[in-house]
Amino acid sequence: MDELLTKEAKEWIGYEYPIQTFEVTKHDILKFAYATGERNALHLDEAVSLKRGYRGLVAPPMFYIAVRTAAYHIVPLEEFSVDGTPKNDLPPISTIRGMGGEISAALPTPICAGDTLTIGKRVDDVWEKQGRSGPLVFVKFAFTITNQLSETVLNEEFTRIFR
Amino acid sequence: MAEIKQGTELESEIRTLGNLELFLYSASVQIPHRIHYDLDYAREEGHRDILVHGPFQAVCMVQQALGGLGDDWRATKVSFRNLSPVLVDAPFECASSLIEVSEDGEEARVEIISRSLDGQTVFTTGELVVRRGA
Repeated sequence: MDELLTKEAKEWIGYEYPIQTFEVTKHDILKFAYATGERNALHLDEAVSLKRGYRGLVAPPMFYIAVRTAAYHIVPLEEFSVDGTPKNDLPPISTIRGMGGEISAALPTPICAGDTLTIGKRVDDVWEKQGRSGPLVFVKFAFTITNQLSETVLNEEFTRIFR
Repeated sequence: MAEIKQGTELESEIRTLGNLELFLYSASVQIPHRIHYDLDYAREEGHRDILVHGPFQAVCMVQQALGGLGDDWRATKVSFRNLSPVLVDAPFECASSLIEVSEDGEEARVEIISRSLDGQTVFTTGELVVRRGA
């Protein structure tokens, strides 16, 4: 039976990617908010955010995806694979047919425009199991984000599936 | 606004995400995966059409739940499990209900789901923890 998971890929378990920083602008938040059809004025109007006691325009809860993805996906063109994703972002498995699997995230502190965020990313586990149509590889990442006040913004486990 | 008690079903929403939405979402989160904008490539990977990003579906689900609760509620925990992909231009329904409410009524757990309009296909399931006034 075909196997997708290599010994080299298993060696990525525990790998910590370089720490990244991300400076959040009002326009980053508005781009995300408009793209996703956001309707809550808290995420569209800086004046509403300030009136409610925040230090800047408040990002919608799922904006954190933009932060933790962009932090590792802003790379030179030659570093992209044929599927459009960065080459060195994943353990060396013999397929690139990936999709999202599961997300579990704690969001204790909202992200605001003007924040400088520090992002950590680690490979927590890599494993293979047989699916109905063949082998599947699961890669579980752990992301953390803190802001400039040392407040935790995100603790996330994110599992991607490859077939 | 919805009554904050266990069992309350929040008003469901139907969303349809077209190429423009997928392009703008890809750009806003820096996800350049071709399955979200290149039909030929998506077919090479065995998909019938361009796929909606799993996290974009999740955004729609969070918006539906928080929209039903009111603007003074905030999500403090989110979890999602993608079961089946949503295709571009295919309408899907986001629905949610309160499964637990704290004694003071300031925190709740919300079950969320996205599914096909005929209810036959579940795309994503999940849960939110929401707080009022945070």
